[in-house]
Parts: sequence; structure tokens; C-alpha cells
Amino acid sequence: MTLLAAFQTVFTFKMIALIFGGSALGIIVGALPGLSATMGMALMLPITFYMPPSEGILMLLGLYTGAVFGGAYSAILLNIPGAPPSVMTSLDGYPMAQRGEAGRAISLATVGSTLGGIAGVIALIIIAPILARFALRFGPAEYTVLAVFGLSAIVAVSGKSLARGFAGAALGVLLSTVGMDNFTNVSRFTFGSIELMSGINFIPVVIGLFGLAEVIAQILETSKEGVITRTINRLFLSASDFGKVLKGLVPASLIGIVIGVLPGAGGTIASIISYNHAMQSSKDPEKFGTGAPEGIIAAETANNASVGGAMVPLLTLGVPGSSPAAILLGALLIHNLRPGPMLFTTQPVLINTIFVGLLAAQFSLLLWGLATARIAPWILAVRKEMMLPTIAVLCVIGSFALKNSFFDVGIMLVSGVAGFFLNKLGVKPGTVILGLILGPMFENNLRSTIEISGAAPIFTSPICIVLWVLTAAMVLYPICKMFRLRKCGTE
Amino acid sequence: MKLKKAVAAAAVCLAVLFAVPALAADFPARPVTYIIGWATGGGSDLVSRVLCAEAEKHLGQPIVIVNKPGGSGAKAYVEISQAKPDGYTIGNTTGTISTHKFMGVIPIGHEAFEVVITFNSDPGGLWVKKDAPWKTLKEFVEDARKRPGEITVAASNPGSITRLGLQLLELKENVKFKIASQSGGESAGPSLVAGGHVDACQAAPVTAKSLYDAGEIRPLGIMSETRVEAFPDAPTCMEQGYDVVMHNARQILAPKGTPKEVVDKLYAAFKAAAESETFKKFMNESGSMILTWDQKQSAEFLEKQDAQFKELLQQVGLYKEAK
Repeated sequence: MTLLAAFQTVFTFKMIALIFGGSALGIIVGALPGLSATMGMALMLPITFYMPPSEGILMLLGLYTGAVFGGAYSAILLNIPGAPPSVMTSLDGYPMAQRGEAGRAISLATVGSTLGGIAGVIALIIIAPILARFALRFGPAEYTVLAVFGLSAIVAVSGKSLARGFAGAALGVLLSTVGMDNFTNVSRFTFGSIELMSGINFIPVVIGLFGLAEVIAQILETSKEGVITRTINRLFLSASDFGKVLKGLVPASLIGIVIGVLPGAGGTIASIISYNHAMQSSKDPEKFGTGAPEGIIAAETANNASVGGAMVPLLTLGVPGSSPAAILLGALLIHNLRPGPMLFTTQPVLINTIFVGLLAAQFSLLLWGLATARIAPWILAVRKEMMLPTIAVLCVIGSFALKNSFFDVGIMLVSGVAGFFLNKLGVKPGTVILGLILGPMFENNLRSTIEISGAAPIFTSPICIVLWVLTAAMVLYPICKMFRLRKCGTE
Repeated sequence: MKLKKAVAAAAVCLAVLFAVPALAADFPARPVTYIIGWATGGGSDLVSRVLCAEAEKHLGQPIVIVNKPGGSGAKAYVEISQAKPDGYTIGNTTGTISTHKFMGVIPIGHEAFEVVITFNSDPGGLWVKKDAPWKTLKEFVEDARKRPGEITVAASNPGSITRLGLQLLELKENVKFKIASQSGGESAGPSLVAGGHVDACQAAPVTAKSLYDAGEIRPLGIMSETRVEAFPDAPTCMEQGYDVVMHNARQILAPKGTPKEVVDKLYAAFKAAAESETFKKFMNESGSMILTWDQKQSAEFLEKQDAQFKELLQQVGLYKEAK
């Protein structure tokens, strides 16, 4: 009955307008580099104070869903991941767009995101309490091994040379050590700067390594060959593409949901692990990184599936596992609603309204995504003399907007130049980002584990053992496959 | 002719530019910038956004929120202290306004500002799993006395207010816990307790409320003088005979030299906001304490807080003169 009431609440003109409007705003926020879901939601938060709770929450949920997806646009069209969860999307999305298939890339991201998002919401509705119990079992030891599992994706993103991949990741880990050490209160590599005390934020680094580096590369390329106008063809999904989406859906959604549930992990790490899995289980992994549809699907499906996952600890335990979730918590609190087991019994209609609204938000992605897949690619037809400065300006604004800091603009500029040379040396920027994201997760949790009980749980806890086995499988599987192929060749 | 007109127009523009500010009586004549030294979505951010949305109504001008995270507020403190003292640039503190200068992070503390209001405090608290063997703070402390360094307590990084609260208990009772740092601040503590990864955690009621309401964790002692309104069943340390009080209070700062009239106007607006129904609802549901201390009361509190943190930091070996 409550579900019916929830449907009646959501399917009114006003509610649908709020959800679809929220997600449109979210897509814009997500697509603009440096503006994140968190920032968009924080700005809208005061407005929700004056709305009935269901309306405010649904608008914020639409915004959140849209922002996680929106990053795909700039990742595909400009090689700048608009938001952290779309870092992996740019690896194949941008090469595909460069081939003239930007519309296809956006459509793949759209359908993948929508289906992944729906899977996430269904998991939230059906097994939220079980998932929440599972999330609590993750302690420092489990997060340590999860970071190792994530780092095994170096193999997937390093391209031709594994050695260069490890070098890139090591550089990322080194950068991640900058800042105040949480365990000893010693400043590492800060040179007395307050700015560096809180570490090097990875968003300006991402914008520099991907976006600005590409601008520099294109400027140098243009001066050699003159202006190239890119052709745009293939705007729509073929039946075989749709088959690929369906094939990638189950593993990517599962990864997205499970990782999304874990506080502090979220969409970025989900998409890294999902991309890695898709590549290792693919018949032709060498296509990944050159515009493989499977790569876009894996990344986008997983990061949107994580949205439903992230709602699990918030709604069932009242624990916000991420910054967007913390803002949703704030929006609920202002209306005297504290999420947790009690909310399910005291406010069943509201809970169901959230479920149904979140589901509707996924469909709004489908509408906006497919509607813009035909238009957005024409950005690429803009002449390079106009396009490149515009992207450079976006890079500057994006890195500034995050913390209103010129220091971050500096970091972006340095990363941009470094990214250009790293590319020349054959070091993929993705590996640096991997080290930068997963390095601190590994270090902090490892040290936390040791502080609490020594290193033993890392090898004895059941979840850790499972993660170790998965890591081994990810690393060893490609090697086995190589041997098998070699055998076939000699026989 | 054209040139003359242009010169005249420019002169008028300049005159307007120079004439508009300065008058404290007109305050506020334009939007006020509110700097938050912490990231979007964090504790200081949410509280400030709710408060400012209300304060705007009383101030009659919009309040523009700008996040400038860096060094646990250090960057924002420096920026506010250097802003023009006209009341158009303000921002909030936490307890780090006292700890930073004693740990050599920045050379300035509250004395370098006009304090507009103290609007909130989140006291420390000690939490254990629902089925933990300790029923009271006394049992917990006595057990720690028997097994020094064996009971694990999650408590943020060294030098954080959270950690100092726990260390205050250690020093007063002469016991030793095995303290585990959390990279994500104190917010991870309650989940670690509920998941059975540590024996206890030090966290403000606002951080622990969700898992407390869910029945996963329970409080042993809250480090405030009186019980927190949203936690009528949570005993304080004091009522159990332990003289352990640790606040993490938030003030609003204006640059030193801001005219008294302006500070008073800001105080009136933020006091009204702190007393508004919206803010009360939000803070009560979060499990946070509302305060409305004026400039004088805030100064007294901050002097006391300075003395407490200076002594504590000296005792735990983190005291450092700022350069």
C-alpha cells in the first residue's frame, strides 16, 4: 500500500519536474570540471529547507544522480573527467569521440548509467539491511586489502608497458604522501605551506593530467598539420552495442553496488574496479584504452550503480558514507527526519517515495542523455583555435572552483605540463590518478590496522582473504591467458 | 565632446565607488561573504549553511558562502584576519582556533579577530558497542587501569580536539588506552565501534547519533557540564565523578578592528538565526548544542579554552611556538 502511495506522490507533475530538473542541473554541474555533486547539492540545500521533505529530497537525489552521470560528457568530449567517478570513462570515451563516434560514446554511457542506476536502486529496495550489516564489517584491515585490489587495476590502465604503469602509479602514491600525516602530525613535503598541509587534491591533478595535457598536445599537433576538423558520424547505438551493455550490466552493477555501500569508497573506486574486471575478462583486452565500448559501459554502469549503494548506509544506519550523502542527511534533519531503522517504521511512505523517486531519476538520465547525444558531439566540430583556449579556460576555472584557491590552479598547470611529457614517455595518466586515489586509502588503513591490532587481520579476516583471492585472480588471469595463447600458437 | 562626457562619467563612477563603503550605520549595504575553512558537505559546512540561510533574513542582505578548506581552518583564519575590517568578510571557527597557534601551524588565535558570536558546541564523548562489557565510565576506566594500553579507542589524528578529549581523560585518571588514528576524522569512529573493529571511540554526540539511535552503540560519558538536549539518557562524565570537560565550539569571526556597531548588527542577526525554529530543529535532530554567547562571553570562553589546550598540548608533547 505504501508503495502505491509513494508512486502517487512521485508521479505528479511537480515531483517529476523537480526530479528531471534536478538531474538536468546535476548533469551540468557534473559535466563542468571542478564542480562536483557535493557542491551542487550544497548550493541547493538551503532551498530545500522551505520545501516539503519529499520534494526537497527528490530534487537533491535527481541532482546527485545527474552529477554522477554528467562527468561522462566532459570525459568523452574533452578528455577532462568532469567529476572523479568519470576518470575511467575518459580512457575509452575520448578515443571513441576522436574517431568521430562521440554520440555513440554518450549513448553507451547513458544506457549503461541508467541500467546500472536502476540495478542500484533495486538492490537498495530489496537488500538494504543486509548490505548495511556487510558495510559495518569493513574495518581498516578490509579497506587496506580493498585498496590493493583496486591497485591491481594498474595492469588494466598502464597500456603497453607494465613497467611504465607501475612508475606512473608510484608517482601518484608519492604525490599522495604530501600533507599532514594523520598518525604522527608530521608535515610531509609541505615546505611550510598551509596549502599543502591538507595534501594535493586529486581533482586539479586529474584536470591537468587529462585536460590541459591534451590541449598542449593538440596545440603542438596543429602547428604541424594545420587545422583538422573532425567528422561526426555514428550518433546512435547499434543492436550489437546494446548487447554489449546488457552483457556488461551484471558484473558492473554488482561491483558498483557493493563498493558504493562502503563508506569512503564510492563511485570512483567502483568504476576503477569495474573497468579492471571488464578488461581482464574480455577476449581482446588490448582494445581497452583505444575506444572500447565495453570500457565506457563498465565505468559508467558501475559508478551510477554506486548511487543506490551509497544510500544504503545513509537510510538504514544514518551513516553518510560520502559528502553527497552527508548533504542528504542534512536535508532530512532539517525536517526532523533522522534516517535509520526507525525511519522505515515511522515514515514508510517517505522511504518508498525516496526509492521511487530515485528510480525516476534514473529514467531522467535516459531522457537527457539520449536527447543530448545528438547535439553534444557538435562541440567537437568547433574549430580548434576556438576550442583549445576554451578548454584551457575551463581547466583553470574548474581547478579554482573546487576550493577557491589559485594554488590549485598552479597544481593543475604543473600537472598539465607533466601529463604532456608523461604521455610522450608512454606513461598513462590514469596510472598516476590510481596511485593518487588509492595510495592514501592503502597507507591510512594499513597504519590504522597496525595501530589497532598489528598486521595479522589483513591476512586472517574472511573478507580480506576473499579480496586477496580476487586480487590474485585479476593479476594472474591475464598471464594464464597469455600462456594459453602462446600454447595455441606453437601447436 | 565625447571625451569630456567619458571623463565626467568616469569621475562619477569613481566618486560612487569611494563614497559607498565606510559608513557603519549603513551596514549591511551589500552581500556579506562567509568563509568556511572546511570542505563542502562537512560538519562546519552544513551547520553554517543552515545558520546563514536564517541569518540572511535578519541581516537584510544575502550571505555568500565560500569554502576555503586548508589546514583544518588555518587557511581561512589567515584570510579572514587579513580582510578589510568592515564586516563584509566573516567566517567560522572550531576549536582549532586555539590549537593551531600552540602547535606552530599559524601564529594567530582568537585575539587577532573580533568574535561575533559563539553559536554551537559539540562536546566530546566516549562510545562503546551495544553489547560491550562496560556499563559505566567507571568500569571502563578501572578496566583500563588494570590493562594499560590494551583497550583500543578510535580517536582521530594527534592534536585534533577529538583526540585531546580522550587524552584529557587519560591524564586526569592516569590510565593508558591504545589510541587508533582515523584518517577521516572522528566520523569513522562510531562505525568502527559498531563493526567491532575497536573497543570504543571518542566522538561528539552529533557524530555518534545515527548509530546510537540505531541501537548499535551506547555512550559511557559525554564531556560537557550538562546533558545534551538531544541525548537525555546519555550521562555526562561529570555526573559520574570525572572532571572531564572538552568542548569543540564554533564562533563567527570578523577581522580585528571591525566597528562595534557592525559586530553588534552581525551578532543580532546570527543570534536570531541561532534561535530560529529551522536552526533549532536541525541542531536538535543532529544532536548538536546551540549557544548564543556574545562577544564578551565568547572571549571568556576562548581564554579558558586557550589555557586548557595549551596545557594539554604541552603534556602530550605537541606544543610548539608558532613562527
